[in-house]
Amino acid sequence: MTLAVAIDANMREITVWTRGVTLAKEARDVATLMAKAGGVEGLYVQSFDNYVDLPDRINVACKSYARLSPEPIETYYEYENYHPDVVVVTEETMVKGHNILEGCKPGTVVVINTARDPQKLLKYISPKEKLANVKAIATIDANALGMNVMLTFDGTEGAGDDTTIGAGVGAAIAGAVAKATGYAKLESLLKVAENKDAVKLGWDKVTVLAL
Amino acid sequence: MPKAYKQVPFAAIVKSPTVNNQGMVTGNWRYLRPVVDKGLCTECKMCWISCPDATVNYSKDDGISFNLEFCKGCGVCSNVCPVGAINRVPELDFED
Repeated sequence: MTLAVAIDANMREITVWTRGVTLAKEARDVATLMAKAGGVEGLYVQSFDNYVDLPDRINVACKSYARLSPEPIETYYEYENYHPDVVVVTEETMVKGHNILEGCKPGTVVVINTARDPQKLLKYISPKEKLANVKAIATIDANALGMNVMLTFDGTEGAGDDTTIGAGVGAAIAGAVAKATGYAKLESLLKVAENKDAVKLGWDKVTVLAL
Repeated sequence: MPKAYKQVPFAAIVKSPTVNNQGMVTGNWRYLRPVVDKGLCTECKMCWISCPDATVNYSKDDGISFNLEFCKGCGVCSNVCPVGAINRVPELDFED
């Protein structure tokens, strides 16, 4: 048990796995949108980017994080979510070769951006002993939602971020996460996201497989 | 006794690497895996000399093969191949 669980027993942690540079902005958007939507609903929230991996390398595995709690969050000095309740994978190949379920709590929901059958992705997910903790796997094909839902690259490699929060694929994935986990209402997400169509599409098109 | 540069062995000061660095495995960065079509491959070794991470191997018996533990899937090999023998296949199409 780490400090986070000891102090903030009711805190829920969202870890978003992504690829450096190419998808870093989308993952940051998912974490920020979930935190902001929680804030709209009166929760105490944190969302923060990666301090541990080196996210300025193209396609390297890196993570973004969000925390939501009904009580004030007292976990300040942990820069990773060691015990996630939700694991989001913004690029399907990341289920292979990464310990995405490391430290996950019982009842974890995994959300994957993929067009593939989640049953077939199960065999890649590691560590295997943590699969028993997974409550459901949700899939959303966020890359195929049409011209209105694009990848945004701003805010990486030190560039300025002009696209505001939730302009592209990340908004759709956030919609899917919110519906699959119940952590945020659709209305609160719509309030904070730039691309409201993407949020709605993500909310509508997510499929949840209970394990 | 000074030596002509041709007499100095490769990596004369630092030992030439003989093992993989297990502390920096980069194969999981890859989402498109290079697959060589042995029927088309002329063994010109353009991919072997172009790979930025030296993950293309060549042997007289087996031809071109890839060190998938460290291949990042950048696609340079596929781009430089003059006969188009290297395809890039989604990683999740493979069982291993």
